Amino acid sequence: MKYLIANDTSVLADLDNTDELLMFGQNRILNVESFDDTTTRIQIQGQRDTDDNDILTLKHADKSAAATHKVERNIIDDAVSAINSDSRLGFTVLFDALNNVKLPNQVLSGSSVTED
Amino acid sequence: MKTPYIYFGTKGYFNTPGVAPTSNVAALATMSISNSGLLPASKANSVDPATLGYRVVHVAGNDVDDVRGSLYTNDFVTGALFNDPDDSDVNQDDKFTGQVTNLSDAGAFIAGSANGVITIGDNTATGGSVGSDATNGFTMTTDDTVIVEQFKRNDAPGNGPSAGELSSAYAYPMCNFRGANPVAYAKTHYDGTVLDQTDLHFTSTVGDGTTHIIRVIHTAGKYPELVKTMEAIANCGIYNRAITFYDLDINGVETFAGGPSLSNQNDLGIVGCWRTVA
Repeated sequence: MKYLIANDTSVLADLDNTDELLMFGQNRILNVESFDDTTTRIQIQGQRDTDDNDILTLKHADKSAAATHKVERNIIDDAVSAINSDSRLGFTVLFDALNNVKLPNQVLSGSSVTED
Repeated sequence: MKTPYIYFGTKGYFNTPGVAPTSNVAALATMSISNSGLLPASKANSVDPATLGYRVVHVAGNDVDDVRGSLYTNDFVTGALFNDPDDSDVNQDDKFTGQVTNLSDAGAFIAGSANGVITIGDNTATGGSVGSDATNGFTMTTDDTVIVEQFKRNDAPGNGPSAGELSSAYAYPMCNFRGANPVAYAKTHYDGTVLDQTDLHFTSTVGDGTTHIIRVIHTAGKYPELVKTMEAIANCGIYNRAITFYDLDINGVETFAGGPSLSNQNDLGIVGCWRTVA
């Protein structure tokens, strides 16, 4: 089992706040879905309430624009690749605002972690 | 544990035979995300539905003279002129069983209906009122069928990327695939293909113990191939991207997984694919 980490805060002292940092197993993913023109969401079984979900919001370029209409599909592939990755560390960082780590087609600004 | 992911784009499809016109005007049943993947907003009568990403197609179920608006001259499927040399009338406004008319003009529709409702005017009214005139309207009978079909990704049908919280593309881990359920459909596409419906169930994305349904409308008898396709995707061993089952992009380009061989062709005859909840 590999684990994934997402962090949406760029302030080190805020890491213990609610809705900023989450670690979860790759088998907890419920789906990855396009939410609107500039948002794709990864939905995860809730860590505190298994009848609820945690949501990772991935911002990206406008998929309704002709020049960037493939971004929605590409970021889903980015997410799938990261989720299934064979990380030797045992975990994969999906995105991390503190260290400017993100998926290739992701825009870090506005990307967020929402816990159940 | 790694698992392949399956990707679904959206193509709304609403097949409604037996519409009963009232005073020659045919109001289709209300479309919804559940029954068709479509929820078009109330359309101004100046707007051609084609500009909104969907088309409204009429399929004649019997022979009646003088009912088709003069604007429509060619069969949508065959391209042939509507003039039938075997008919004594031989006018393009006569409908014959099986003829397919793409109601491609804004003037065919009566505006002011509620969201999700399309009303088709007749061709008999005088005065040229929109939706009911000899040019754009179509006087239907209950033997006819009307098909509303999305042909490109667009917000306007109600299932585009910006339509509130109605998403248009979903990727599910195959480990969350719960099963494929054939559902009675018994309808015919405008090209004459008999259709079936299969519901693909996945663990709900909100963790509430229910399932989400991807509804697939496809050529009749393809259920065995469809489930073999799902098995092939589940065991494909591809983990670095999602496998497209069906997709429809903003340019109208369709992508298919294909049948069990994953041929990337429309082996299943898919004409509609949508998630039944927003």
